[in-house]
Amino acid sequence: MKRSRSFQIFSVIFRERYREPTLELTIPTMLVSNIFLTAFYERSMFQLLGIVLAFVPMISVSETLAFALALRNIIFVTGDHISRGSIISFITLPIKRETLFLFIYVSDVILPYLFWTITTEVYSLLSNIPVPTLLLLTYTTGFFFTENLILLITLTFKSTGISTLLSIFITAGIFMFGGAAIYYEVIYKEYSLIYLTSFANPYVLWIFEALGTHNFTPQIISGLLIELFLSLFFLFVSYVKFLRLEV
Amino acid sequence: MKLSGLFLAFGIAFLSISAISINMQVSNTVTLTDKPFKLTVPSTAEGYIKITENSTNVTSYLIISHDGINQTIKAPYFISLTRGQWIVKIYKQSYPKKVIKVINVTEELPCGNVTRQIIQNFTVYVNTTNISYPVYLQIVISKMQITPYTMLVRSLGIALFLIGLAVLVIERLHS
Repeated sequence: MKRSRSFQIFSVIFRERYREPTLELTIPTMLVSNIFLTAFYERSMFQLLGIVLAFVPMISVSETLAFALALRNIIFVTGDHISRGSIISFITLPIKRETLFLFIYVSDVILPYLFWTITTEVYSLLSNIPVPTLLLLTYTTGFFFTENLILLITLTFKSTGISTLLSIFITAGIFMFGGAAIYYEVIYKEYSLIYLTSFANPYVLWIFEALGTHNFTPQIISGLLIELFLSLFFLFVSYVKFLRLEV
Repeated sequence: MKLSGLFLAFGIAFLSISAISINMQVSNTVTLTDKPFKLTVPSTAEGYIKITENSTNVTSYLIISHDGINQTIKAPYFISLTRGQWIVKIYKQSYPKKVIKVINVTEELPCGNVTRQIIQNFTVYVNTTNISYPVYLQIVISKMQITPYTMLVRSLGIALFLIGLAVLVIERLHS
């Protein structure tokens, strides 16, 4: 059966990133590691606080796996091609550059996100634990914000070493210092300032909300909207850079 | 990408989800105050609540509500937790109390103003709002299953595992 050319090209890009044991190891690990959600839920006496803590990015195994997989794809496969010049063999394939960017973005970023979403939803359904949809949306926007930023950094600095260091320092810096800033804003009751800074680390607000001190849902939603806007901006700039890429 | 490997891995994952349960005891002791103590227990958890009080002369009465059904008990007590919402609150007692109030009444008499004191008896109803002596609730969750649909997940896991084996055999025959 002759498959279409686009499908064959996508298949090449896909198999380059997900060789033999990658999918068999990562997707079931993401599914089973959700046992920590059950453990945190039990520990918190079945309250929202346990669920929120289990979904914080570096605490949750499946979220960290999805983030790391996408980062490896962007910096060490796509970025490696760009820094070594072997991206030319993809650019000279008989497809438009926009379509090539779409295929690369789907297999680099969207597939790890789909692995995380499907395993998390399946586990929530099977275990009957009430996970708030806004919490899932919080990780979604954070994931795309971070990965689009990493993609932009990789396309700007055509070196894997510099991209890795910059990506990790910038994303960790935003998460940690943003979190500290939001914590102090809550302590000093500067609630209106939180609308602007909550995009850096919405999980601090989630923890405060789960502890029952104050309702931070409007600030969380404004943070998610700012993250969405920034991630679309990063994606657009990356798209333009990729189209103008000269090897 | 070999499909047989994926099916086998998923089959093992689902089988392990259906078979594993968290058996480490999780214990939490709460002091009961004016606010009712609420606990929503899912169907996958097993545990109990031990209600104790610290004093020997006074008996504390509590109301335990499970999904709307109330029961008045006295401490110490043992509740075996089942699925649903459990609420433990103080039994608010109401008793009449005789209060004596002294009122000054001023009468105008032709010889001058005379102030008399009249003693009036009132009956006031007092509601207890505080527990005088602490009541301790020790909540222990002894076992937590991962999923309430054990049979479904187990059969799904076995089915995926067998499909994986079948696809493995087909792949071996083709190559």
